[in-house]
Amino acid sequence: MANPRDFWAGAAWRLALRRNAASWCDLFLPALAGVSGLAAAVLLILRLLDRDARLLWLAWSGALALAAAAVAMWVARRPYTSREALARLDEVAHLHNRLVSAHAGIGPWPAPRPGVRDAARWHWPRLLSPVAVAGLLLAAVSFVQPPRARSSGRPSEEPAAWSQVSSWLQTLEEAKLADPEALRKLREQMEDLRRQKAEDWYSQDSLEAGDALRQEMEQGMRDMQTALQQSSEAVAEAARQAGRMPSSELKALSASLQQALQGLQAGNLPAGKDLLGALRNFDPANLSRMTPEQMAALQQRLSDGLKTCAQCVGPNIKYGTGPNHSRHGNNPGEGKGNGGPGGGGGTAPLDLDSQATNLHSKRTETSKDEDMSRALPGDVLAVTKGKHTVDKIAQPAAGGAISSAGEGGDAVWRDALTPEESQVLQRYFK
Amino acid sequence: MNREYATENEIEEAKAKLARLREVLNTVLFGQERLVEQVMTGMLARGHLLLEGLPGLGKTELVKGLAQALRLEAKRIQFTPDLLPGDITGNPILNEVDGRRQFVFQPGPLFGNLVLADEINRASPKTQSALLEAMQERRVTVMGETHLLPDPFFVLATQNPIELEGTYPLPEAQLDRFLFKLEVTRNPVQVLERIVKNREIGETPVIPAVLDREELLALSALSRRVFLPDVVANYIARLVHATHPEGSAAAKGLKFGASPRAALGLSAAARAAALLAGRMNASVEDVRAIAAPVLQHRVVLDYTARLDGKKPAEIVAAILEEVPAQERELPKTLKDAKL
Repeated sequence: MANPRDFWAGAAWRLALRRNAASWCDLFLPALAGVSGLAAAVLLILRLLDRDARLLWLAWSGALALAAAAVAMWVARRPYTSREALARLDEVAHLHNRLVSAHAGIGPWPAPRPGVRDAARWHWPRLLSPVAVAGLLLAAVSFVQPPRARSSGRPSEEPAAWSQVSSWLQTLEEAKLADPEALRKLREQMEDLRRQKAEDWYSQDSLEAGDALRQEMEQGMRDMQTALQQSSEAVAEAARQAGRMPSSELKALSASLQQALQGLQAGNLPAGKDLLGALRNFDPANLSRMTPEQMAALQQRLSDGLKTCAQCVGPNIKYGTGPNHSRHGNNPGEGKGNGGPGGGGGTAPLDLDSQATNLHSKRTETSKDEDMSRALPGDVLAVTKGKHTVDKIAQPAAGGAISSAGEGGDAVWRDALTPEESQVLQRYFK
Repeated sequence: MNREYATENEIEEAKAKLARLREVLNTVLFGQERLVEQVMTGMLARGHLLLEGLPGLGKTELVKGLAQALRLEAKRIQFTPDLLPGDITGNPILNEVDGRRQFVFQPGPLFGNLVLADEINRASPKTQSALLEAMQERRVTVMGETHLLPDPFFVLATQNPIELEGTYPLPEAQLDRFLFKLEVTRNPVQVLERIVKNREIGETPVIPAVLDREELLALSALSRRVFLPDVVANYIARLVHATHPEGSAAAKGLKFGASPRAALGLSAAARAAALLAGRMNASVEDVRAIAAPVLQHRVVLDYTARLDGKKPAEIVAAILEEVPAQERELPKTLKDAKL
């Protein structure tokens, strides 16, 4: 058994310590809640304005440290002493002030009592609620984005035209097919669009600008594709009939090559300088200047360019290579079309022939579509003779004036109301 | 203040003597243990007592029993409206001694150790005043001559609370002279049955003397040497302060609170109660136990409280509830616990 004096002195010291800590908590916890509430309000404003909050956290920590120190000093001014704690123990243990008397040297110390450590218990709900309130406030503001802040964030996806332009630009840059300066200009235009406010990305102007950029680039690539195709065919033809080509054909081939070269130079998307240089140096009349390797390299280059263009905008319609040099090809297109998500089902198998098909029919018939539900806007359904029914009595009316008063029972609202309004009225008159 | 506090042996000895006195008095007055305890406390604290209760409850028997048990001289004065101050203090009587005529003071019934002032509120204010002055000063002055009252000197006054016609209620200032105002309550059935079985009308119970005058004075002096801790003194001060209307919420129904004499009375009575309990120190619990008899006749109800039917004892009880034992209350983040 412990010495009663030591036991009670120890119990009083612990109680005094707990009591002083509780006094500190009593003053500090409201300050914590208040400062945190203020910090939460400021943090919310900073988040709304999308400003850096590091200084706020520093100020919050500093204010709390200051408050803690001030409260500690305040409590230390008149601390709860062990003597007062003895009086408290006297009260809770029903000792009739024997402890304070024994402390004063009057009478013996009472025997130690088990459980005296619980002379004053922590009031946990009161102790933790300000901490919880402060934590929740700050957490709520930190983790829950305010609506305005949320709306100011970038959209998760940029317009489809932009993505496509970016993709094309990357492909062309990697293939080193187009003039870098032209590509740089296009990329700048693209970045200009991206630099505008995120909430304006899907505005009408922005979408139209994006579409125009895409169309411009697509057109440029198609022109380049056509010119490359033309160049490729001319080079192939020159290589095939090396030295055996009649002068008239040689002249036509040179003209075709020159036309293709102009197309590659003058389009929305000019070709790269090395490709242009290589084509300029190519002379169908003097092929002996080129080695077979150089010829093969040029053909490969043109072929790669065509593949790059096809990768971006789809395959070009192949021109006929027959003796008549028909502009219409006989082969179906390759790959999918460019419209919409997924690119559609590919180019239509457009088989056109220079010779008309003789169906041996002597009678001309008109096609007639009886199913009006399949009619499209602009279809001529029927042509009849008749007169316009013009109201000759009608006079110009002032703005807001009633042109037709209607009569009781006229169901004029049926065509004038939206379905939702109509439902409301139906519910009302039910 | 340097004082020699009571030792453990002295306390033990006193406790044994007082236990014998208590035992004897309880054989005189059945079922009034609390009253006996309070009367003994008042006597140890050298205070005068005001007993309030219906006739026939044993007030006179208690005084007689006390006188027999303590071997003290007991006097009884029945107060009436025509009672004059001289009738209680004594009168100078012209007497011839050795051929010379001179006034010789003839002591009145006040000159006793234990005076029972029956129905004190029936005497005129002048007579009441003479008694109360003697209670305070413990001396009587007649025709310029001062006569000391015997030591010890206790007054146990009684009041009948129902027959108020033709009475002169004691003023508050005079009530303040009484240490205790004790309510003598009606006996329950079991106690009445015990009285019927053990008492006969006109037969005075024989009480053995357990203490004498000197022992009583020594016990009274010992009670003043009981240690009063600072925390108890602080509690008494706060309690008396709380009886004033501005001192506590419970005292809102009071017009005037208790005087510093009440604080001294609480202190003396708490020490006496500790001695009776055989402790070397007075405690907050002692103060709480004697607070109602000390304070209830020292506070004055205001008009509203009277209209509301409040009683001083109720307000004192509310004040006791309101005033904590320690001046500094527990912080809000701690909660009370009783072991």
